[in-house]
Amino acid sequence: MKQHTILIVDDSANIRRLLAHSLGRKFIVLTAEDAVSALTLLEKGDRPDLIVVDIAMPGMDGFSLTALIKSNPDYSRIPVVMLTAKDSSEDRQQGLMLGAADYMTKPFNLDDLAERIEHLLC
Amino acid sequence: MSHATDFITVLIADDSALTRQATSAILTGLGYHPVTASSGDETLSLLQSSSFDALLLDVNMPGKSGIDVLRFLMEKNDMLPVIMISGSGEIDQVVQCVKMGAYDYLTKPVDLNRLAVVLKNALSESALRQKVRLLSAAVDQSPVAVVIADIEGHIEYANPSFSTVSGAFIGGSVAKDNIFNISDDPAGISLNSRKTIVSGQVWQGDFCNRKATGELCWERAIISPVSSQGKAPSHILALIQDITDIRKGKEALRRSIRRFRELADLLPQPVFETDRKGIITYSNRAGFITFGYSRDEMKKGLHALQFFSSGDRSRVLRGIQGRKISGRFSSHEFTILKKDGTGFPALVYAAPISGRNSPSGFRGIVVDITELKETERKLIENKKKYLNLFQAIPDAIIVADAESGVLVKWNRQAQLLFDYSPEELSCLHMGDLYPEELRDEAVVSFRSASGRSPQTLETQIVTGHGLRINVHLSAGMFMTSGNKRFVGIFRDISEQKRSERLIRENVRLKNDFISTVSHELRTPLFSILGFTGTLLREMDELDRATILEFLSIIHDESKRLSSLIEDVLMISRIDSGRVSYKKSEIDPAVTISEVCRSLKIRADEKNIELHLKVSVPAVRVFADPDSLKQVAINIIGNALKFTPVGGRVDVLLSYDTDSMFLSVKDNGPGIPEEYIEKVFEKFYRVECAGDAVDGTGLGLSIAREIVEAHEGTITVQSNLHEGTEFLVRLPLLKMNYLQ
Repeated sequence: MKQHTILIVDDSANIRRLLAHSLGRKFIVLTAEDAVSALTLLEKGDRPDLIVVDIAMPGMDGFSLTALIKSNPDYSRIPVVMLTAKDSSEDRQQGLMLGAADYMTKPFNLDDLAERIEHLLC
Repeated sequence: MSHATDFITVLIADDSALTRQATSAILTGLGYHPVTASSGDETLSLLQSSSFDALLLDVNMPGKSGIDVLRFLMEKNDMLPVIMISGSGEIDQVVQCVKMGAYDYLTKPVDLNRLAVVLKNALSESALRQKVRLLSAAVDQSPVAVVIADIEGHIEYANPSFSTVSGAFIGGSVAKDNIFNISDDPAGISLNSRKTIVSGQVWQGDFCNRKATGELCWERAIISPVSSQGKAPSHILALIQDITDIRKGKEALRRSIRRFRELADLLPQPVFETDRKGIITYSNRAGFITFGYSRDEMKKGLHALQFFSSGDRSRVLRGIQGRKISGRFSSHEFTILKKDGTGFPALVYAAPISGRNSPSGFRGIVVDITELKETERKLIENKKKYLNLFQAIPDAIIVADAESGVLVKWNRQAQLLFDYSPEELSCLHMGDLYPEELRDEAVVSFRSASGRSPQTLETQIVTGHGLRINVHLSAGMFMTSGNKRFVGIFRDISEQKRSERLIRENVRLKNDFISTVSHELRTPLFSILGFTGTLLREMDELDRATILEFLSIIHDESKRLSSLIEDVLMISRIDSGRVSYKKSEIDPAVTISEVCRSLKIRADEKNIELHLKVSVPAVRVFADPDSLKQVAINIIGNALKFTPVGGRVDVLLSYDTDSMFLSVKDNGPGIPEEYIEKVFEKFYRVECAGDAVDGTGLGLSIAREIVEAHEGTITVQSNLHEGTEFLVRLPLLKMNYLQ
């Protein structure tokens, strides 16, 4: 079975480290510390099978990044899972409307995230 | 010949021409004027057509005889004296003639002397008889009762009026009645009058008598003795008049006077009368009670002027003069004096008492208006109170005429709120008080208001200077002396609006804060939970270096969580005012030096040159040392955080006469202008700093709160790519500076 590649976009180094370790057991993990780095990565030709995006980031936030990804035909098919520390139904609504595939509120169970990703990839 | 005979006409009736001629000649000689008739018929016709003083009548004439003529006269009751002349002298004839009223009877030939005497006597007796008849008629027709009685009082004669006056003769006989017999005579009038009469004097008096009809009447009598030719009185004459009606009139007058007095005594107001000179002649009971004078004092003489205060007297005199001329009723307000010297305000209504030609005095009434005055005074006082209240009401009140919309009244607050002078307000229409687009709504609210249900609305007014102010308006309507008025009460609610906005803003900030805090708490918590979970699950598979790495992340995140919680608690304490600063006199240089020493390690880690400069002399500030330390740590720490490796941070402590200044200047990237105002907001971090810089985002907020609680200020200045300077100013302890 081919290993899938996951791109994690989060401004917190500790979160990136945690997710990379946790998801690294099942997937190939790429990380970006902000939206700009993520887009650079995509433009360089990396094609992750799924992108995990934190909403609250300095500079361009997760919503904007998702919108950009979904509006670009090259990447629009890549499922996006949004992470947030805000438990707000409005944020969730906005994320799903932008085309996010799923939405998870911190703190969440790391196995849950892996399961949802697997579900989205099959 | 005497004059008396000059116009005496004597008719001579005789059938003998010779006798007629002879007799005429004789009478003419005697000075009489003779007229002759030759027959009885001629005699009768002459008697009917003319008047004669005497008649010489021949008994025997052809046709109508002398006897027939005499009978005619007797039947006519004519008093003409008739002297019969006859040739026969028969005694029967003589007797018959005398019976029929002839005065005398002469036989032919008539003796000249005898005729003259008889004629003279006949004429004088006739004159006397006429006088008696006149007297008798006068007495008979007199309305006064005339009574002649004998000396004992027995009535001998009474004229017809007596029966009218006394009613005594009806059905009675004169002889039985006695003039002194008075039916109801308790005063002994009859005895008294009788004595007077017997002593030859005249008695005069009134008495009450009962008429024969049983009716009581008043009579006035003048009774005088009658004596003839110097003898003792033999009769009495009583003249009696019925004075019942006069008595009744007098009685009615007395009753009406009594009624007036009693009525006047019932009046609570003093009523008085004066004579022409102004002396009080009458006062009712209220007058004596009010003024305190006794009846005796009034009788001794009280002048009306002494009841008026000296200031009023000339006015009273003028009034009296005026009324004397005009005779009209009038009233004036005066200060009226009582006997004890105290005065009271009163209206005096007075009018002249009408006399025959000029007023015989004055009559008047005094109306005490003390209470009226008091009521009036209270009314004025109430009005003043109401006006004061109206002016003192802290809301603006405007009253406008409902018809014209013109402003008619306003209070001081209205002048202040609308910012117009009273002159300007009096020219304004109620619509002028609102901005054009709100005018109709405001006017409609007044029109739909009624006395019982005022309309309220929030609207805006526009002041004399064009300023718009938010107001709460209560629009009402009321009626005053038939005019419909609108009243508007305006309350300036701009302050309320501002504070409402502020509250909303605070609520929003609070919500944002909670949301941000939860976010900030969740992130480290998620790390801790995630790594501890991983360690628990994968402990056996992980190598020692990874375990250490994970544990160190857990440690860092726990520390961050801890300081975050501390800061949040601090902010919460500050916000709710629960922070108690333990202020004391401290030397800021000592505190700042300490902070710089403790931050030296962190500066060294990033190879930052941290430089402190303190300008002398040493001063004191009144502050909580721990809080001041935290301000310094937060600001200097913040500078170290955002200054790149190898940079420089300068800390400068300086003073002027009033303040201490702490300047913290770095040569970091600077803060973009659009964010400079936000650095003191909670959880705000300049975005480019990103996650590379740790911290809670509350440090500068806390610093500002502390500085402001010490009556200081904190400001920031920044130039991109050059650096940022934070400046804290704290007031110096004045007292120390002066020392």
